[in-house]
Amino acid sequence: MSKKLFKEIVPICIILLLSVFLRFVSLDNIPAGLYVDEASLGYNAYSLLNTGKDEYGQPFPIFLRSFGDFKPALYAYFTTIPIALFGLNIFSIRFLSALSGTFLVLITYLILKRSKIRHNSSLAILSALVLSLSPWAIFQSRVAVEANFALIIFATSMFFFILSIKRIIFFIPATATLAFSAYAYHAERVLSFVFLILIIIVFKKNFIKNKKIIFIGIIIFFLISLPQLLLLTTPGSLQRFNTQGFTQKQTFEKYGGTFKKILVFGRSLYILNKFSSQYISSYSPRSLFFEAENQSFRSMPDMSVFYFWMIIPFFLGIKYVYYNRTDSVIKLIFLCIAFGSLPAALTGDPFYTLRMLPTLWGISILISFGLFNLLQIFHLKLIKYSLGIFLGLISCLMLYMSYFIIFKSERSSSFGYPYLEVANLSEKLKDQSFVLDTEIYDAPYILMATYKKTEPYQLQKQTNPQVLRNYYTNVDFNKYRKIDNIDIRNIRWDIDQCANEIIVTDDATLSKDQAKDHAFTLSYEFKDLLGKTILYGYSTNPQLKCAP
Amino acid sequence: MNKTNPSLHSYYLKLIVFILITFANFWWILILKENFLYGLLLILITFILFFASFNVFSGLKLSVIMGVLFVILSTLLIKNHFDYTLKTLSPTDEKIQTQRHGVYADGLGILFTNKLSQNFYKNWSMSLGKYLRNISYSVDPNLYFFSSHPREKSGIDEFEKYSPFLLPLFIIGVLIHALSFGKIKALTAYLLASIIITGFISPYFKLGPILLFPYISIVIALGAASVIKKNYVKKAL
Repeated sequence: MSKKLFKEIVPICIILLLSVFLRFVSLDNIPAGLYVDEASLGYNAYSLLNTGKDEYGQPFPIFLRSFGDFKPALYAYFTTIPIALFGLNIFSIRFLSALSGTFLVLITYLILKRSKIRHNSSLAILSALVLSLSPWAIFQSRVAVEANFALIIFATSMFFFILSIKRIIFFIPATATLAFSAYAYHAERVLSFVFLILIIIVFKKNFIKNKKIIFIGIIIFFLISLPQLLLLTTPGSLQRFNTQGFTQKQTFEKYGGTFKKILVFGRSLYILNKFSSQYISSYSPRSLFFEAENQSFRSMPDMSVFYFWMIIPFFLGIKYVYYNRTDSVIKLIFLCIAFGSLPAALTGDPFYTLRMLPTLWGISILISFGLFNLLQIFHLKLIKYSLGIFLGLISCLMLYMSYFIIFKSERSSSFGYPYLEVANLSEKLKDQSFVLDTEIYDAPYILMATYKKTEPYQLQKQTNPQVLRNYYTNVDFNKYRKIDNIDIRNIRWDIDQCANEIIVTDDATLSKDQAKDHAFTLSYEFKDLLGKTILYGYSTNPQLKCAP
Repeated sequence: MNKTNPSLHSYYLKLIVFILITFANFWWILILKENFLYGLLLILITFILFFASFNVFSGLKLSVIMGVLFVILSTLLIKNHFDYTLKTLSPTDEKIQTQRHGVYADGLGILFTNKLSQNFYKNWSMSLGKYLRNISYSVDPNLYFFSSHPREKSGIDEFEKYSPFLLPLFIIGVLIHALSFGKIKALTAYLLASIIITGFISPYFKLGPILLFPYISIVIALGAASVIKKNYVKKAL
């Protein structure tokens, strides 16, 4: 027992502590501010907690209408707990994601422990360590994203599937959690069905003797999926697929290029070409080890989803997986790697990590296999441990420099940090009217509502009744709102110059010359953490401009 | 012949497929059209690498000949198409470097402000980043199989170097190679050497990372042969 304690329990406890530290330290400050999607999840959780309805007034929705993108609502429902405990703040909103990321490390260890391959205990510990330090896992755990929460539900389902190979009764919680994951993120809506079929096919020999339990498991899967399936054909449910996909006729007409010249199968070939290109992009060493994701709020500066040195264990891991391919855990990991990126391949965004988290999870395990192989080359324990510690330290240093230093300051404007300052000012000047220009940012109203902890009824009463009646069918989005003393809309020059208010906008919308023409005075500057002014607050002078 | 090439029949199969793939692709034809010497050197390297990889005419002489040809081609490429941005900083680079200098100094303290780190940061970090970026372009399969792909480099007309229908064969070939790194040593060594050199070549060189042409052609042939002869993968191992 003492040997096991020293060799397994102590290391995994240390790794879990490391995971907690990397995921929770300065969670409310890094990233600095809130991204609009995070704010939307947080505010809707706040609204559900206080009124049982979302920001529009829809009672217990399956999808959150939000900005017309219809997010699966499970993250918001679970976030009601941290909000009830800690109040509506950045920490509470990100809490569930950080907790999911920590549990993923534990689940990975438990899954690997169930494998029959040699050195399974060491591999389980190494996999947990690689995952706890992987840039993608840390990044996604430190922002409120439904995808990270969906991943832990998905991974838990995989754990139950592994248990079900020995004890078939676990097939029921496995299918139940798999179906449940579809309520957490769009990608899992596709993956849950794909994985149910794949797992039954791959493990049919193990399941064939227990047809009754398998049947019950499948029935439970469909029963849990039913509410979502009933909404499947609504525009709201299909909104993400329709806006992000490339299979639509209009997309082909617009971007088909040379494929349009092919008469019969032109569109099919275009879709196949695009799908292949997107799919292969998910596994390209360029995307995985070298180049950051294109969107600044979805990636760390100069850092990809894995450290660049991991390319060597990545290729070495393939060999390990191949030689142990008959093992059930290895089969499952292979399925995650190969099929986990299907949702990403079905959409047009280049290398969109959120839609391929199961693949990244599988690749992390693959890398740990390769790393284990690499370390095995050295027989001397001193060299083996020195190399391991060196790689660990280098990784921590790279992570610290990229994420905790550069990302924090360089990406603060992407995370709406200047809007936090606007919200603080509007709280300070309660009697002053503000106009927040919507030309410069998608949906600043949700940032204001979250930062100012606006009463949900205030937003709900601004909902057009028509929208509530057609909650899942009408996908139009109105970004103009009034939050306390802030009017969030486009600038109306004729009216605004004659009203006593502070107009908050950027220098592209309102140049200094224009401000002078309208007799506006620059009163406030809202900066990001680099000290660069992102937003300007102009005081109007109606007595000068609109004097009778 | 070693274990990777269990029979003469399997070898001839690979050879036929290899010749078809090497000569019937858009990339080599374009290279030959644009620069005959590059095309000739590449085809010689490709054939020698193929023979060396499968131990048909193995030996020191063959390795030396291939090494000499590789050095000649690499020298020509570095001389004519060197990525000068590795040595110089653009105004944007300078702006980023200056901006990050203060941020790093605040966050890392003496770890950053010491002489060694300062020297690395000012003189090497940007170059290393660009070098890794160049390498990353060359290891992206999309670059070789799709004319329009999700992560195209801006300002470059990326053309389809091989038919996208060969992509599955390439993936199988890469997996076979990954499973037998140690056994196909010549191919592994060539891959590493060509990637290292490609990092120095401008990513705007219009013919692309041509040093990788021999590797990709051989790997596709390996994948094709394994598909034709279904049990090849098992036998290869």
